[in-house]
Amino acid sequence: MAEHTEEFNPGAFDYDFWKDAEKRAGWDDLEPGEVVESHPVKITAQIIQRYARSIGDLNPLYFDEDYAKASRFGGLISPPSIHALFLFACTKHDHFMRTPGTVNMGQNWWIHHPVRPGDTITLTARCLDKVIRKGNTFAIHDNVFRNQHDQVVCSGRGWTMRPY
Amino acid sequence: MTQSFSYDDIAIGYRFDGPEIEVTREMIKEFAMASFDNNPLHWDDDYIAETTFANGKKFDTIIGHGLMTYSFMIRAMTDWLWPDNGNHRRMETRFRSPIYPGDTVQVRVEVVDKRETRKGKWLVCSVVVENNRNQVVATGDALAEILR
Repeated sequence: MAEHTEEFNPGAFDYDFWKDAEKRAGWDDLEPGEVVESHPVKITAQIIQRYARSIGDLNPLYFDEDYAKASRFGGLISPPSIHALFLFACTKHDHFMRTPGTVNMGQNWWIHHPVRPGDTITLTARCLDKVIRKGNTFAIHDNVFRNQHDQVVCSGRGWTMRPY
Repeated sequence: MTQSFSYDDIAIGYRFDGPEIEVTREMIKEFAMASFDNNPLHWDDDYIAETTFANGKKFDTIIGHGLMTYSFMIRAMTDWLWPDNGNHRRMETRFRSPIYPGDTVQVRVEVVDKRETRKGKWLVCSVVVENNRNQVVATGDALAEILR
């Protein structure tokens, strides 16, 4: 795991979605309460800014160091939705969020502290519950994101419709 | 950026428009790269054409990420609250229907409740995202903590 605490290199991220696809859990395989394997990721201003640009959000708090320094935040921060990125950057290719056929139905996240460039984020993720409703199989999962100071920066739940 | 306001300035029923965004195929691809969520649901037309999802569900074409929609909803809140009015604390979403490439979506926010607790001043907001066919693509409940 130690190598992942190095600055995260998006160029080295393996975008081959189908790699290890057969190892990903279907609804039947999910064990509610069991924490999945993850690794810490050190985030940079460049990764935050690429993410912000991709959603068309050019808030100077993400881009303008002088502006951000003079603000109550005291420096650059990231969009609160940045945790979408950590869901995938902090987990392996066989993580159940990548199971083919999975559809995100909803998300609720509580934001405790902003994520800043240079932060190392650790994700604790698990399937918390699973249900069958109106003939569909759903998983409810929870995610807790901590920074290098062991502060919780974000916590919450999501639910996905997924194949079995 | 919005004008500065205090908790007392905002009444229940206050509404504002968040961002209006045209979602292109390129934008969905950029989000897939930037968020590391490269599920083929978001970029592979062949996969979409040949795949039937749970309960027989089919999609017409690739779709935008639910978490991209989520990010638009949060942006409505941060554009309103930052830098000095408050903080976005919570968003609970339900993704109602997909965003397709070429759709233009509009985020709308309404303050539906207010509450002062022992440690904070809170605005409870209802957030709706509609596409250019007047379909609701996502709804959400947001919580804003106001600074003064």
